Amino acid sequence: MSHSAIRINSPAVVGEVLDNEAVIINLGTGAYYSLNNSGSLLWTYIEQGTTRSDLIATLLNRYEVSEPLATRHIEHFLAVLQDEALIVNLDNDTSNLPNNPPVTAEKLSFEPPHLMKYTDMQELILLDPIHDVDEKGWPHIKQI
Amino acid sequence: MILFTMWMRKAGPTSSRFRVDALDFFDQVYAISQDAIKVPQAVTYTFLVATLTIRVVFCNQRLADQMTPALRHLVIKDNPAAAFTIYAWDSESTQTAMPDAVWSADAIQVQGRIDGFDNERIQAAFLPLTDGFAIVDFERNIGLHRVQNAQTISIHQRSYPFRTLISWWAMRRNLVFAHGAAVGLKDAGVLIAGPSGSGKSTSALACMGSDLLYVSDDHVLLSDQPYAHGLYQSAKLRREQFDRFPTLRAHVVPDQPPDDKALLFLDEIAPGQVTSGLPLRAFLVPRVTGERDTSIHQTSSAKVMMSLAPSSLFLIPVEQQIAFRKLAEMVRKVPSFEIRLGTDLDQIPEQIHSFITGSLL
Repeated sequence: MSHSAIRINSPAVVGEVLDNEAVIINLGTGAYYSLNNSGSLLWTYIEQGTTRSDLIATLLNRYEVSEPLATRHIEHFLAVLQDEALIVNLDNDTSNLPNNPPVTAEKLSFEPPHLMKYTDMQELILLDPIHDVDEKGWPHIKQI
Repeated sequence: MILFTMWMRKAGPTSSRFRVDALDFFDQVYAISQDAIKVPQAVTYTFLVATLTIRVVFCNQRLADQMTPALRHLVIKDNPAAAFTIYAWDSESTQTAMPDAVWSADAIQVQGRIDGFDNERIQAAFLPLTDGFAIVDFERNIGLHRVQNAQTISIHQRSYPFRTLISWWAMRRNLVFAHGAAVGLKDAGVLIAGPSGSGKSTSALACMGSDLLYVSDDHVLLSDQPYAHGLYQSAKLRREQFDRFPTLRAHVVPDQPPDDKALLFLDEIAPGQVTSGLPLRAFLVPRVTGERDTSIHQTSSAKVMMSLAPSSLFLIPVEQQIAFRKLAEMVRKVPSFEIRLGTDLDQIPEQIHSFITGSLL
């Protein structure tokens, strides 16, 4: 499993990293998210297609963190992203993945990757304009 | 001939598959529009939206009277060639019937999208909170807008007429719809970006009667320059908001259908203040503080994106992946600030004015 490809659940999920902070939207559910710095760094690799082991290497290269701790956090992080249907895990599809992330000269103190979820848009997308359809298949507006 | 595959979902584990010819369906609806919209009742208006000429041909004056006030600040009197033509009619008064639907009820998705009608050439959707239906042919630059009954047009449609058609078509011209209120001075505007209830409309309305120009309290089209183009000069106020803006009560459009919001047209309130657009020099994320004073501070572009993108993408059935990317490009280009909104409403235009003259010009 550690060599299976991890990718964004596109096209249902869109994300952009601005000022080292990822903003992600699940277009299917209406939920949207932000990631802290380490999470956003990992997201940039997920955008390109990556593997679990490369993500662990990314944390080890960038932060002052032990391998067991990095592994634990990556597993938790990926589980959260998968629960939110933000990523897909494609077995046996590691072709064309970028190389391991570069090692940075000075490592930063570790902050675990963290996903913040916002659900205030879900009401908007679940507004149901359709109450019923007529005999020809045209919807009626819902009468409130 | 463009053929698209649609999955018709039925109860049970097996789905039956059939094909929708979206272009053929457009042609059927277009033929109906031409049957419905005939002289001498037909009336035509031409609008200049973000430097593009949009012509709307209505089946009769009654429908036009409902659908044009929010756009009347963009009306142009001469008659240049239209870049986009919309035909608008109601089925009741024109006694025209729509063709049989070629979709199943469960093909209608959130925001009124219809499976099988979302492609390079043809898009169609039912319009949320209305009985409207819109379909566009991007190749011929024709949009069709049909409602069931012109007499029951909702506040929503009167506030934002043709919002879906215009946004779809504008997107193909590199303009992206944004949910925000734009105000400013001639050479520098700000976009107060946020969903309903964020303080965006209150901020914009607080600017009425000030020295600031007013582009929109809710919707703009953003272009690359970057520039915020206005769309509608309508404002919708919740009844309780009149406590903060009591003078606006006199301007509520009469004879409104039941709605939790009241409709106003801003050119009736401050005629010289409404403008068609402004250069975009800053994004402001509104935050209601409960304190008395208003102030403006730097913030991150990610905060702007969080405030701007979700409600812009979910308000109308735009091509969301493209819109999201364009909004991000815009947010990277334009400086990001937070406006901490105080309870003293007079300070809001004062602070925005000082901010523009002190930091953006």
